[in-house]
Amino acid sequence: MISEKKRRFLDAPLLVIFVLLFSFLESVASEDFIFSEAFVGLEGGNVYPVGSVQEAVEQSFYGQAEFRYRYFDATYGLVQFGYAYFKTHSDFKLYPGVHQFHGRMGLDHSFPVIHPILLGFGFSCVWTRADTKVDKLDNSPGSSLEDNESEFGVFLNLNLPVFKNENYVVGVNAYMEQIWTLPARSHMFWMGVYLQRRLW
Amino acid sequence: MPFLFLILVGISFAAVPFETEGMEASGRSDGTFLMASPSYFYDRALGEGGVHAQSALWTPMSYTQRLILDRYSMLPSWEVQDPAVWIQTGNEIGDMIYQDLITPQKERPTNRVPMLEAGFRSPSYRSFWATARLFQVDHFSSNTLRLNTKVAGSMNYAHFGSNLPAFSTAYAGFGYSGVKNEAYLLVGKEYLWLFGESGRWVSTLASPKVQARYRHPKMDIFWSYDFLEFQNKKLKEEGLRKEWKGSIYFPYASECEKKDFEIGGGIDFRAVKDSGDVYFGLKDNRVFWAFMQMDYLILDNLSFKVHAGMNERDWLVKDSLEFVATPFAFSTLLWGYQNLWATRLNPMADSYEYFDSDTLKLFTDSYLQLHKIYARWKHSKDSWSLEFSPFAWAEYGAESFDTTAFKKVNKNTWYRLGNRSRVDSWIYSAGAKISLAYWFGNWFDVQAKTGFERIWGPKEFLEVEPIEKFLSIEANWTLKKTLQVSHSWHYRSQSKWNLRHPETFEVPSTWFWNFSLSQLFPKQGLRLTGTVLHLLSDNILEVPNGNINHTRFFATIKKDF
Repeated sequence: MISEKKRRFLDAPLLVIFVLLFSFLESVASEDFIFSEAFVGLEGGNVYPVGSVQEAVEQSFYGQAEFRYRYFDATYGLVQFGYAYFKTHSDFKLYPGVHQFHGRMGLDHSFPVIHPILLGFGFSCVWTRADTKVDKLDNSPGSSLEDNESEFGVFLNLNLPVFKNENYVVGVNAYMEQIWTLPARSHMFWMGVYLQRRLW
Repeated sequence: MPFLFLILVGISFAAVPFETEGMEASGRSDGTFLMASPSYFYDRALGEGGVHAQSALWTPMSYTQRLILDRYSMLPSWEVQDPAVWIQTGNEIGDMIYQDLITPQKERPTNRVPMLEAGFRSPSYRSFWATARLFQVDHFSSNTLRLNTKVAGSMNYAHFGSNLPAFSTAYAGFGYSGVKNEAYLLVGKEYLWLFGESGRWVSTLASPKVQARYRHPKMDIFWSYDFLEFQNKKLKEEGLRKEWKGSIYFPYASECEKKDFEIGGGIDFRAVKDSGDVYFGLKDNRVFWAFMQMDYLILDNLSFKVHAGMNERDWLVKDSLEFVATPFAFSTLLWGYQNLWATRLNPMADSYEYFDSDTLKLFTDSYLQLHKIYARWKHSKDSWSLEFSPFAWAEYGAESFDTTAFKKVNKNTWYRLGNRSRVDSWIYSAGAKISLAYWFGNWFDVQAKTGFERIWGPKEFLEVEPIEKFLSIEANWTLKKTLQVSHSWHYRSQSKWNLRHPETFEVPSTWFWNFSLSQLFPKQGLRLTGTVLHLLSDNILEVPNGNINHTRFFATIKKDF
């Protein structure tokens, strides 16, 4: 049995982010690039629970809005806000589903090796709440979602722009997301189609 | 790979931000910093003379801080912020979210709780501005949730959410900032949990709380009014307190500003009107405190500083004499001697706590005296500096607590009865601190600190037996003026609470890591920050009846005007 402390070490995704971050050091933004381009977009798709979360909720549709900006030469910043409704399995009686709002901030970068795909990462935050009032203090499984529960996490992202012209981009986004929940981390796989419009 | 090397060697400074002003105690190691909740912590930097928490001692600058029972606190801060708009959200890492649905009751971890803040202060229009701020830190509230729910009679005792955070504050107001004159008026509503000397958490709701301040280089007037509601639904008790608080402060006025002599002073006052079940009492329902302060440069390298205050019940004097020499090039050597005499560390604090039919007296007879000698040798050259600071002190009559009985509430919760008392013998201490700093241009700095302190005396009578050693390594980078990375590694040794628990309550030695990353957009005045505190550490309980110091993450977006 691996100790809690060791597990936290091995699991600390922040360390991974940290190393990734420093691999980006050479491309740290200079003021000449920041916000030299900007886009707004909408995205819709499906989100699939991965691993243990599959036992808790079913797959779902999601929708999100996005702001995307030039950060450096071949690096873009992204800010996203979205919503998904996760139905619980039929044998779970406390409530039929959970509302989830999410926000993400991150960067994606165009590496020549995998062009035209962009590889990105960033931080996620999810806010959740059961769609029915329950008694939080009875401490039965699921009861903590009686009120807002939120947690942070990290994601890796692949972005494939399929169609581009001067003002519009249509493409596909895929994300592998890890939320820092206990007693185990939670994972979700997201895949969707987006439409972006250039602001400037 | 020089960067990776530097990451491994260590990083940071004080640049890692905390959830809100006043929560620094949750992430410091250079002394005994033990947090029960944002509204109660014990804070004592290693080498500070005496065994008291620093926030328990009155100083002339205390009027800028909040008085929470018998401690001064930066938090919940009603200090007006610089012109900007900002939003913050965070969470103790490890909420169950969807894991909740599939985790059996026995394996469920304590719930982790969030924080949130939103606020703005407008740019000035003809020197007038407006401000508003809503903020609460739910962190450090899971352990006390069940008991406090019974006291509040509901879980909805905050502006937002149902975690019963230690404080939940909202205020709005307007002000004027001229060339020399500055004034503001703020009105708000605040939920605040007070940690009694008994160990009981007491709920208060200030509605309204009003605060005003007028500042001029020669005068600072501060006034606040709180209409406080105390309640304990479990005991079916309710009480009301009207509290007026204020100060008139004359800082070192320019008239007194000769080259070698500065003098200032002021008056602090508090008055309360209680009705019903109020769990604290102020003797005569009022307290005044007149004080003065003086800096005197006796010789070019010899200075004397003193502040003193008194009223009809208490008095306090603190002075220091410092001599600075430069024996070698790039070196300074400071010798200091400091005294503190006081009948009470905080003469503005409440006098009694009422616990059912018992009364806990929060003041005691006689006075304490504290004497400290210290030195600081600093050698600084090019891009590094080394500092060595040995010290020794002796204290007689240290404030402590005479616990007469305990009341068990549940397995982990005990209340205590008794009175404020003194340690009627000398306590001695000696130790030293060493720090080494290195900086490279304006984009990197690193600082390592260590310290040890040994205390001799009847330690079993001390409320807290402080840590004996610590180590911290901190560093900051600023890259291309747009990316800031800060982090700090900390170790601190064991400390003990002797009087709040039937057995000695040990706070084990611990180490932890704080990390922060900020992206700046200088042209836009925008700053995005992500911060992780208390990472890669054990989750430990640092105060009896308190809450656990969990790993937590928060993100901030701030746009300066």
